Amino acid sequence: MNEKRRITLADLVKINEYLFEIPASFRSDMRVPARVYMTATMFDEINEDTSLQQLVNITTLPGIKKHALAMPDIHQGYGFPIGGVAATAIDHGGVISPGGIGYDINCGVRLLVANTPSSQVLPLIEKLATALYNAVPSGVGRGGIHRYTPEDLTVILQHGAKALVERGYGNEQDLLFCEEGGSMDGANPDLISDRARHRAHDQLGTLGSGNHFLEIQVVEKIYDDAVARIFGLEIDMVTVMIHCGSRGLGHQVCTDFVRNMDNAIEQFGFSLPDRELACAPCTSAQGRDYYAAMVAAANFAWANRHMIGHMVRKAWQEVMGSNATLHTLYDVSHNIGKQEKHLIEGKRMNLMVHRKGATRAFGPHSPELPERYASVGQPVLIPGTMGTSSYVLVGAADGLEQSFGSSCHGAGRRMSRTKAKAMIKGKELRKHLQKLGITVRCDSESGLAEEAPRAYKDIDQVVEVVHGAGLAYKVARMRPIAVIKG
Amino acid sequence: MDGSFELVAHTADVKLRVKGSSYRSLFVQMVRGMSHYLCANAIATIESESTCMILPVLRNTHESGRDATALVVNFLSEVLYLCDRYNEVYWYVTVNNCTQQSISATLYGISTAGRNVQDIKAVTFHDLILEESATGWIAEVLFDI
Repeated sequence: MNEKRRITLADLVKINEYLFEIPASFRSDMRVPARVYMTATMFDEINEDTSLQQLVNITTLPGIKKHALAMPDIHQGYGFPIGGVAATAIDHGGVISPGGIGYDINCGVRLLVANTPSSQVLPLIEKLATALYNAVPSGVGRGGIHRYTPEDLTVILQHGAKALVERGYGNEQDLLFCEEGGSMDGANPDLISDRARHRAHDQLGTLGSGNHFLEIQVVEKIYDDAVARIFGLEIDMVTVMIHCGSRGLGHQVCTDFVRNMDNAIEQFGFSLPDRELACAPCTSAQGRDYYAAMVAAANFAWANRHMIGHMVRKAWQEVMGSNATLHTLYDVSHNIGKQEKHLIEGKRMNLMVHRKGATRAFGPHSPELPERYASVGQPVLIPGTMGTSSYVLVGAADGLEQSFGSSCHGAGRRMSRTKAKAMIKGKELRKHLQKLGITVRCDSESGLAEEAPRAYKDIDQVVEVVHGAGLAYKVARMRPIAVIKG
Repeated sequence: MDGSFELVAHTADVKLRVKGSSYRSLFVQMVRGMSHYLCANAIATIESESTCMILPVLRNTHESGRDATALVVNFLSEVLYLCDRYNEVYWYVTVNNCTQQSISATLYGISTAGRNVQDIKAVTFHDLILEESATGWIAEVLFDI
């Protein structure tokens, strides 16, 4: 039924220079084709692990529509590959799968823009990096400085970043320029287990570890002057990028519901090629409960990035002075499930769009966008690595039809952490980055080595595919000048 | 308990490969492998002491699963929760009862406070292997990190 034969380039049909398709005839259990955004030269690297097999597995999900998609930063995950997108028909038997969203629910990126040019920031970069490192707890086991009661946590789970603005952290503009306004409807905090709550008890305003980071950057290239102006970006401006998610709370929510759905899988009569794809119909009690819990975890993640943004601003002003400001350009999620309406065979259909390691990238005139960005499209924030550039793109009008309005989420790993640690020494990497003009604050040399630029794909190539395919267009490129990691 | 564990490279995550002379010892080695990944430094401290060392932390755990595969995921998820919640790792494990669908065990370990700890987000079903071999049992479990 689901024979797992190796995929070769000959199995793929070239749609255009940036898009290839694995036809639904490739495996007998596929319900729709699988499409991969890449160039032919990227295939061998992508096919080194099992990510394309995982992509094919997604096409077997009940109720999946149109095609399963892989972004050019695709790499092997569990259940879904990282960089995977799939949409299921909510009202026609479509499923929701926690493994299609990931354990770090609403892991995402927030970008702040400084009103101080790089010429004034660079002389103080060491002080700034230290101030940010001290202000924002990072690493495993380092709790946040903000104390909150279980009742406070319930409000945060229900209302996300909005709850923090009401308590004096951040401002309304932060909410305006955030996907879902930082507060997604449909949360049910009652479905968050005591374990998940315990894990969250001191984690608001914490970065965590792994690939999460804070980065100070300088805008070094503008590709589209008109859009950059609307986004408020100019050459030599300074930005601060925040990358993190829902911490232990999100991990526990996903663990709880994978278990719940795995237990119920026989009840629904599904036959899945991977138990990590455990799922339930969106309209079932299990599906509805998971969605409501996932939304609550997503709200916690938005509150987390919002609180970190607040702490970054305080630290920034302590070094740069009280007139120095940081405003939010945008905040995007890249691990989430969303109820969205899309055209399927000419009809608007209610879909559950799973984006796991993929960013929403809505084009111009999307009702979800703030007025300021409505004429150009949604900012799409693509972090690179600690030694390479990051990008701001803008969602393309054509993206809705092509990719359910989705784009890549980063460079994408190409090397295992084990291999990276064996090949790269943290101390040497720190020196190398220093030579490139990048200040590093990170307690763990091995953690630094794991996240070395060489462990990732070429971000420029990944972004070029997204741009060339017309999913999102390049607006600005930023180079890192300081990296803060757990 | 006889057995061994090793951590195997994976593009974005980490795979734990475990061998046990018995089904019970497999669970012991899985706890050890997870703890070693989370905080090798704490495990080195335990190993450097006498094997009779009384570890200060004790946790009792009971888990179930609809089959042995689910039991592995649920048991390790519970151990991970305890590690994360209390900032601890465990090295000595007494398996009190163990079937294909349930396990009760006592975990002995130490605090990881002040030490460099690695993160494991979750224990996954993906490509999970659980097999009886000629010499005992083997398992492979992928951790999302």
